Amino acid sequence: MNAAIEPNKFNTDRQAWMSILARADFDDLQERWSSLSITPSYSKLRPAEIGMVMVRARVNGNGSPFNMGEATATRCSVKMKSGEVGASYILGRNKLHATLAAVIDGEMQRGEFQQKIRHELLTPLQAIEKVRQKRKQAKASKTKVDFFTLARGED
Amino acid sequence: MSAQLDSLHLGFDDPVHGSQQVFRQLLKAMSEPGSVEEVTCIDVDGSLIDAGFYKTSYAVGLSLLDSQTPIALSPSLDQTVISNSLVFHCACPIFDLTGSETNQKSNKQQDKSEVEFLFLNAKEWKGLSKNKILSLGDLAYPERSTTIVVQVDAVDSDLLDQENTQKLSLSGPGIESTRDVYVAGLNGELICSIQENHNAFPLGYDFILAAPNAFLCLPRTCSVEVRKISSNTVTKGA
Repeated sequence: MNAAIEPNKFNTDRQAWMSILARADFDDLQERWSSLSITPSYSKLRPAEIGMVMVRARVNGNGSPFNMGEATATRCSVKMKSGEVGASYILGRNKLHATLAAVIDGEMQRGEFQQKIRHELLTPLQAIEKVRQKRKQAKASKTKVDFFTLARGED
Repeated sequence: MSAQLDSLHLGFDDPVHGSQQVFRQLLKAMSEPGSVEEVTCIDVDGSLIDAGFYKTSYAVGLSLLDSQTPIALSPSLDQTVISNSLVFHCACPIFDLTGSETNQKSNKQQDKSEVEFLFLNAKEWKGLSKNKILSLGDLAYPERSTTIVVQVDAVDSDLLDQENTQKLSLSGPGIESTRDVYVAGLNGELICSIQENHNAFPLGYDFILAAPNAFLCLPRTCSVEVRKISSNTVTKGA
């Protein structure tokens, strides 16, 4: 596995593509994947299963973490025929999405189609995600309230 | 999940139904000691076979283990592919025979000094019966004893065509009068332990004898006598 060469770079790289795959819209992801016409051979190490994860947050983004609530998540692990293990954790209950994300993760580690997947699948999806993120932030920032306390002078 | 991912074996094709099926087989084999159950719902490939782990033992592990069941692997079975696969699929804490945890999954020190399951090959039983990580249970909670999965060469209800075969005559709850089974690969010390085990009732270990394709159970309620096989001269006092 190429993880042996530069483990840290490999890990952050992999984190990045796993995140893109998990956030992508499923229909979009599926369409782009099928247009690549890669047919990977793999077996399901852990078929997609639905569970709950605790979402933790920080007040104002920098306070001490607290449990915000539970969210439904789906995870899946596949083993490529050549031995690499692809994994995915996605929000929601879409098992097909989790399986596909795990397969693409495995295929990325395998390396043969890495550049093709990166250019034709991951980069466009990342761009779409960036736009969506920006739009969301813009929408949220309009309703942002700054809390402050006026000096009351007594103490 | 800190298990190394490059040496993992697949679990059941269908985890829910696979583990239910094996659980049902275990239930039958435990309640009718000596009934031979064939494991068909899982296949293992070379990596587990090379490590010497039978698909029956693996299926038993996949069905019964979870994060609350500490297990021990004998030295010959304490191999990466076995422990990683069990940790991946079951998340069970794994110990060696001295009681120290072998997979560094949890940071907190386990205060449990006894394991609920032990997996081993029959020839490794020597001197293990009094090992401190094994539990006979106590009178208030006899169900807390260790279940021992022993890998043997073969089990069958009909005479086996193998050299080291022994005929065991079983009696006790779940058996109308007696039931004869043939087991290949047991050794004298293990048979003695299994026989003594019955005397400690209601305390005692429960044994699962796992052969490559099938298993049978010898719970603590079961009384075991070794019988002479006509073509073989092996006889042990009952």
